[in-house]
Parts: sequence; C-alpha cells; structure tokens
Amino acid sequence: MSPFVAGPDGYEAWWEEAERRVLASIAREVAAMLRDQAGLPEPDPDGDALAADTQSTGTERVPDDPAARRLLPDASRDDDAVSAEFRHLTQTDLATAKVRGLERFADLLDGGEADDVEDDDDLDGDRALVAVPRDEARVVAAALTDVRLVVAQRLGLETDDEVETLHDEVLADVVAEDPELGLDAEVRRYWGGVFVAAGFAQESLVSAMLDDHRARHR
Amino acid sequence: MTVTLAGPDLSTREETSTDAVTSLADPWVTIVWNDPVNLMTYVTYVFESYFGYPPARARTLMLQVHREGRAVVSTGPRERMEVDVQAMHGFGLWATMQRSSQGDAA
Repeated sequence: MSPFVAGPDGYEAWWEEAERRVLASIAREVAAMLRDQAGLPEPDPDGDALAADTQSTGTERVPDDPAARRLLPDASRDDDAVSAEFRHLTQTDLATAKVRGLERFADLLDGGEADDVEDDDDLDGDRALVAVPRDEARVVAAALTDVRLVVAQRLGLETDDEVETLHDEVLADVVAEDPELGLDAEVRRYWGGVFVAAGFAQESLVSAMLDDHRARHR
Repeated sequence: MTVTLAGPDLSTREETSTDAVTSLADPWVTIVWNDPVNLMTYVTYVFESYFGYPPARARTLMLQVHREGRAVVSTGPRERMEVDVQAMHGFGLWATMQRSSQGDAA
C-alpha cells in the first residue's frame, strides 16, 4: 500500500489486491451492520413502500451493538431527552449517509481491480491504482474513520496508549493474544493489520486533502 | 477522562458572534470528545473544513481535545448545535451538545 498523493483529478494510491479486497469487504460488512442496527430497509430497487414505511414510524431505536453506538452516539451525556430527540431527528439520515459512503468506498476499491486490469499504466505487480475523486474524498475519509472505529471497538481499543501499543506490535510483527477479550494472536494480528493499514491510508489521504483545503483558502 | 475542566470556552462565543447574538441568554455548545481512533490530522481537517476555522485555531482545538479530553467547538442556538453535532457524527467524531450554562457534563 502506497500513501495517497494528490493528482490532477483527485487522490491516488497503489494498493495490493488483498488490501483492496479486505478493506472493501469490511466496509460492506460495517454498512450492513449499520443498516441493520439503525433499522434501515434492505437495499431493494422495488422496496420504496418499505422505505417510506420505516421512515414514517419515527421510532429510531438505540443501536444495541457497541460499535454501531459509537458510529451513532448519544448527543448528550446526561440528558436522555436531548439524546432521544436528536436520534429521532437525525439517526435515519446519519445512518443512511454512512451506509452510502461505506458502499461508495467499497465500490471504489472494487473498481480499482475491475477497471484497471487491461490498462498496463494502472498495474504494478498485483498493485492497482485506487483513485479517489476530489469531490468524494470527504466521504472516503469518513468511511475510513467508520471502519477504523468499528475495528477498534472489536479489538477493545479504548485508550490512546492501547492504540499505540497495537501499532507497535503490528509494525514489529509481534502481535500478542488478548486473553481478557478472548482474542487469540492470529485474530488480533489480522484485525490489527487492518486497523493500521486503514489508518495509514486515512492519514495520507487527509494530509493531502488538508494541503488542498489550505491552498484554496489562503 | 479524569481531568477536571472549567466551563465552556468563552473565546468560542466571540468567534461565532452571528450565532451568539441570536441566543445571548443561554446558548448551547457543541463539544467534541477525545477518542483513541481519530487521527489528529483528520480532526484538524474537520475543524478547518467544516467550521472554517483558520489552521492555528483548528490546531489549538484539536490539541485541547487530545490533551484535555474535550473542547467546545461551536456555540449557538440549540437547532444550530444539532446541525453541528450531526455533522461531527457524520465525520465520525464523538460530539455532544448541552446548554453553555450547564458547565462540565463529564
């Protein structure tokens, strides 16, 4: 995986096939989890009636999956009425936007594979170009955040120190088991690798976006 | 977070004067909380691109979130804060809202 750099049409990085496949698959899993947790209708071109029905009930439930609760958190720490009203006003829209963003991100990664196979310029070994158009960069950056938040929750990462330790373990290839959470070393190595790779991609993408933003507003 | 903090950052109110004027009596605030996942670069990008804060102010707020566990990032009427909190959640930042008079809700 190479870092994202600014190009004429957006931001570009080279990802290996396994990196694209894994990140795309996790993004779709997070989207499906959110869809379920927020009570959004299943994707179905003929499902408009169902969609209207769900929207009109107005009883957004609090997600019971802790990872979904992190993506759709309470808007107040101590006032349940404020949190409930906020959820009522925003949860369906927020969850829908996140699901669309995650699926768009996954499509971009899948596209890197399908579109570029015949184009020698866009292939380098099994690495293919991941091209993020400028007007979709914000959506992709948010999708990377959502993926990282869910993976971190599954890994039980709750403090800055825990994240730093996992980073060091992954980069030194010495990932240990976590008996407290019942995660063996293999599982922690896999998800830790995903977490670090998604963080690397996001850091380089957002740095380039920030440079562009500042250049436009100087 | 075990750090004890003072009430909302008063300087924020001066900088969002349009919002403040409409509800001087008891405005609401949007608070962004630290989390171990979000990157400092990303939080800075959100503060600059969404709120339009200059780089120095965005960085100060980002560091306040990182070191003190939270920062007041905007002030105004409740409806406006709902928009800001929704935007922060859209970015994946952990944000809440409360009356500015409420002080530290942690």
